[in-house]
Amino acid sequence: MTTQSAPVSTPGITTFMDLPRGDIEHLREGMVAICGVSYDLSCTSRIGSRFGGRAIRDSASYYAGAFSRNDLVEITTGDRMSGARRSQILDLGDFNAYPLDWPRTEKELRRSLYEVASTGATPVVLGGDHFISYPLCLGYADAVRERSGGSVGYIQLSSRLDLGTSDPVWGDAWRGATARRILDSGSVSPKNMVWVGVNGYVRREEWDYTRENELSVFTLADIRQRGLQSVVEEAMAIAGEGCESVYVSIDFDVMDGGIVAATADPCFDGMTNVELLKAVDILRRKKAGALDLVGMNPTINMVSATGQRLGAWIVIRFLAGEALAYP
Amino acid sequence: MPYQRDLLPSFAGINSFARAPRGAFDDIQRGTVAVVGIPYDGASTSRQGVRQGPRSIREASADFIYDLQASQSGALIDVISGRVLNTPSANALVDLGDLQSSPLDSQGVIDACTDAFSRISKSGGFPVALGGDRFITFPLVGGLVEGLGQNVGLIRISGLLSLTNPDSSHGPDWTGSSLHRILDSGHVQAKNTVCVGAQGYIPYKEWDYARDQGVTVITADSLKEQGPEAAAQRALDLAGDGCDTIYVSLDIGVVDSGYASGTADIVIGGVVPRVLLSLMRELSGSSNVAAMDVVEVAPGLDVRGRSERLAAQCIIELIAPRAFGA
Repeated sequence: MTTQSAPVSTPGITTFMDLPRGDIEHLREGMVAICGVSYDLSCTSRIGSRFGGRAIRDSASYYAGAFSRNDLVEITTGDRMSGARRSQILDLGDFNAYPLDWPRTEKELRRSLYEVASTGATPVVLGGDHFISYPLCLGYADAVRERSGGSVGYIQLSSRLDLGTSDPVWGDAWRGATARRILDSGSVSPKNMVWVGVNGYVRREEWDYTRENELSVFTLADIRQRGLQSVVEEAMAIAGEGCESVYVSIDFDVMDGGIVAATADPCFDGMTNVELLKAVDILRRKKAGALDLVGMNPTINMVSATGQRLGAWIVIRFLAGEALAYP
Repeated sequence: MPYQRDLLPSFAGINSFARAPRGAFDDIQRGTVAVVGIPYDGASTSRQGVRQGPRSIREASADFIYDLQASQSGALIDVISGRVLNTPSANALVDLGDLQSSPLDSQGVIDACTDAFSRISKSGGFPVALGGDRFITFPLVGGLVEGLGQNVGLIRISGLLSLTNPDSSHGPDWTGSSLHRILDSGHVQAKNTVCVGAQGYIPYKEWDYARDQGVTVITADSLKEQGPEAAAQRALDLAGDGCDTIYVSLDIGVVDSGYASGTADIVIGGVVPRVLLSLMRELSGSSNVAAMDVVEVAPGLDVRGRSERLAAQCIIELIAPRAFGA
């Protein structure tokens, strides 16, 4: 007798939650495109986030069997995810990246995300280190501008500001320059750029820059004092003001390293996993139109594998507000 | 032309603590923070691996200090506390390398520790020891007392009390009796001894002994309740009562294992790094603090590499006013 039910995880190519593979030509308005970027050479310390996308897909396959047979319900939020709408989400596989050629990688990532977003689908990108957010955000802004004539906001959940310019060792292409490059590109107005979860020591010139230019920075202390909901709602309001939609970048170093340490430089006092998921719930109900998860380095906690599972949860919680929501 | 003409990335190069210049005992001037490593674990009776502590703390400190070296302003700022770290000036911070530390020669280690802290403090320097197991605090305190020619107060941040009387199975020179040995030596009075962060089960005799002698214990829960600012002030007041100088010892085993598993003890319900770093920052404000050690870092037991990084940052917070112009 052959197996009657779907296997827990299908052998062969591991897609996110075993969702169907697709390509740009299959995307339509309202769909979701899962994309990967396996690039981590702008990380200045422990590389390994090149395996992030693969690890998150692998971890998400845990839910694949149940999701293919049933609706899932998220018992804390009450979100129901209908298995009938599986076909609205496609896994596009990984974008092309050229490890030793950043200029070419930058061009390719910007063009790839532009093409995905131009279809009207919501891109969800599994990184990769944080520097990829720069060309991805620009590609998203290109597409939104072309489709609607409007602009986009940018919000990053990260323990750092990433407002560096040139580094004496790394030059211009490094993860600590992500937000600065977006800012300097002019694609996103400084008024619509927001930082959430900043904590610990940062280079002084970066902090001074946020003060001089009146940038919207919410530190971890703001979250503790005002509460997560108030901070994330205000952050999204600022990022989305006058904009068509908001590009959201989640750097895993925003996480408290005692809970999930799967990033190159886990911090000693970050957001908890519960806080991060709540933040995703809030921002997906607002104008979030694109999401990336970056800096998830599974090699650092390969055994406990909590980083990739949290990554999978973030995507699933984000999707609950999009194509997966129960009709 | 020097071999290295430019700043190296954090993972490259030969690691001294915070990439400080290598120094010798003779170079120490008044106010110099002098770091020594003591890769000794011969007194440890629990999970092993503390001998790799000094090397790992040095390596971890390079990761942290790279950002300071690479910053255009020559400064880092803590976005929450507002503390600013500046590039150390010449002679503010030196690394003396490791002391003689054979795991089979406890007397040799006792002598080397005593001599090192004595010489550094005699020159007006601020000694910092990278351990090593927590037994070394005993000879290091002795060295400080010898160098300064006066008794000192002791703030010992640890999940344990280490107040066991030397016993038959471990002999006198083991980690579990280190504080007992310090009190027996007469170098530190019980009323000037403050244990911060004790938690979990400990032998009742030790608890009794602490109370009988008048040692102050601020438990991990109490530290959390009163906050690191109040706890630091209380510890400084008690340790400094009648003493001009205070020794700070940090056993990384005070930290909850969820954050720092790289130590012999498995700690459930320990201090969280945010509180510990605040505590170190508060203690650093006292000019009476004259020496410190960080002990029990076993990097092999923490594959995430967080324990040594936390140890390095705790040292940097404590020496910040002296070495980093904070």
